[in-house]
Amino acid sequence: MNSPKRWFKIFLVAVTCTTLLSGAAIGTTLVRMALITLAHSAEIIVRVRCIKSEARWESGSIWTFDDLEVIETFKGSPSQRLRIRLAGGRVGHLETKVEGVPHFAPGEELVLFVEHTSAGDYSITGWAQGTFRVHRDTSGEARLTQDTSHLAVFDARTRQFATASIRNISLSEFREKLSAALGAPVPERPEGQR
Amino acid sequence: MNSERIPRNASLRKLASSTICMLLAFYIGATPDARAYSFGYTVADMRLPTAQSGGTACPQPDHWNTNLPGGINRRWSTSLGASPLTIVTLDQTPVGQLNEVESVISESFAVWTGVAGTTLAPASLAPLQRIADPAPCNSTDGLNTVCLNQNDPAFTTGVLSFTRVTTADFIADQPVPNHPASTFVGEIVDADILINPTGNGGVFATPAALATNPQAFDLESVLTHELGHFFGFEHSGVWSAAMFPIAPPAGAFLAPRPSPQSPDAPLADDDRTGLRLLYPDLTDAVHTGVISGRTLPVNPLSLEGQSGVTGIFAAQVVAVDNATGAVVASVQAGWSCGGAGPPVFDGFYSLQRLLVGPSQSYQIYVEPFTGPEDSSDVAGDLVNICRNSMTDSNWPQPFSCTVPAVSTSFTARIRPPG
Repeated sequence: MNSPKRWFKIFLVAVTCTTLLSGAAIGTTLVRMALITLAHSAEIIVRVRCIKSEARWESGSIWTFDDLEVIETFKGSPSQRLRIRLAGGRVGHLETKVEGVPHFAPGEELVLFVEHTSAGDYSITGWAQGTFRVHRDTSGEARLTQDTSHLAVFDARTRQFATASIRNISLSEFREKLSAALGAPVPERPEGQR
Repeated sequence: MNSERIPRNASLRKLASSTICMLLAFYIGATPDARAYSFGYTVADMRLPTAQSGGTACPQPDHWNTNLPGGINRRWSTSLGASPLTIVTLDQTPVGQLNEVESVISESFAVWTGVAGTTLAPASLAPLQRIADPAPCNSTDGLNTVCLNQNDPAFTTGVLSFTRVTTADFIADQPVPNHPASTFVGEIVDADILINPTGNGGVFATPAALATNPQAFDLESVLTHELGHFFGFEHSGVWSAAMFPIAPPAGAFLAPRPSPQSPDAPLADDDRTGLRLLYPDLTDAVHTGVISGRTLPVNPLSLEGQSGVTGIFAAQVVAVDNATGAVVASVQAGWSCGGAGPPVFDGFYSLQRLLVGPSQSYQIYVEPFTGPEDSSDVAGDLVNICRNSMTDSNWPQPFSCTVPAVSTSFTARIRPPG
């Protein structure tokens, strides 16, 4: 039997290698978007509450449509109710699964970065990157965590991966950051980016 | 995790039990998205007659029927981004470009069908067909397609590629067009891979072109990973696995490349073990080892308030080959299911399909899902193992369960035998 020390060393090596890894999150491959890029890419930025989440067939595929009640608007002029489209969901006896697509439950509070899809309706910019979950701390203060806080995503410009997601910040702090991002010059987009 | 409890293998259990505890929570803390290898799961619709539901609410791992007449159909769209060029090949002639891309797709499939000890063999797949349709991946039509240049409405800014996998929760005559009767719950009936680099400035290169295009992603590595989803995998927490959620950086690839001698070379043992579990070959006499047990809190009172939870949920349990030091298998542990189900949250783990031999031995370690990822991410992976009246109207109560909150505040030690 090998000594525990040896295994400890092996995993130290694994940790080091993991830390040094750089690449893109795959399964779903995302290009890293900093808050300033997200802010300028999105047409609408809103704090919402999920009212209803419903999957249905459309054009041969299963899609989930989430109805959202707008609580606060940071960018754009959305109506009081917003409907977004996300890939996958369960209808009848079939379920389509797409890794990386956020799922919302009725009653859940979120901040979403929203843009038009090629179908003419709305979806979330960068899927998980444009999704921020709102939770309340013990004092009742709203705090936000980006869905990609657990993911590393690829930065097309630096060709590096990064985990610079937003995690557990107060809503007021988020408003300040977003305001600064929206007020900053439009970042030069990576080649080919919409 | 299988649908039934696995009998413990006494000799392997002894080895596992004698293993010294390792506190490796910091490891997961350094990992961007550390999860054990995992599968998609489907729970049968228990409102249906037994003949259609299979009679159990135990989650069934998503996988293909490898005995489909004519094999699992597969095709790819020859529509490629031209302006800008998004798939870089060494051969730039129109015919040569298509041949080179097709060769990469074929090799990527062969990586998964090249694993010994599974029923997913090259013969399980129908010949790879070319189609000219530029947008064949937008339909759950039972035709399994790779699209390298389709602007699906699912794509938004920042999304480069994804895989869409559809499963059936019942046994049916024909769940989708072009797919014959499904024979088990969780059968994959349609899968499409969509890559759309155009909108985001990404470029992919074939292995032949990668060296001279170091700014490009390796098409073969990305396809190999996506095909893991195609065959039923979710992400692995093993950093060397093809199903680890971080791709090789631009200019790099999953090494070593496949070869005729080692078609599955880019995979790690974790991927292979997972595949042997998804597509078990009952004639495989060498990958028969099982290490199983339960992860339990020292103080059972710590589980108070969690109805129906009698063990740690969830934990990553990993088996390491003593001879090589390689991680050979890892599981998202914490539940089990037998008979008619539903799952119970008893801390159960089962590492299966391990290589057995006179000098073969393993150590295991257990770690919580903590670190930069939220524990809800793990719960999100496992959310499909339960159905109840909240998820489905008129769901029968005896088959209901609710996925509990993920425990994160524990360290683990292996209880000595006795």
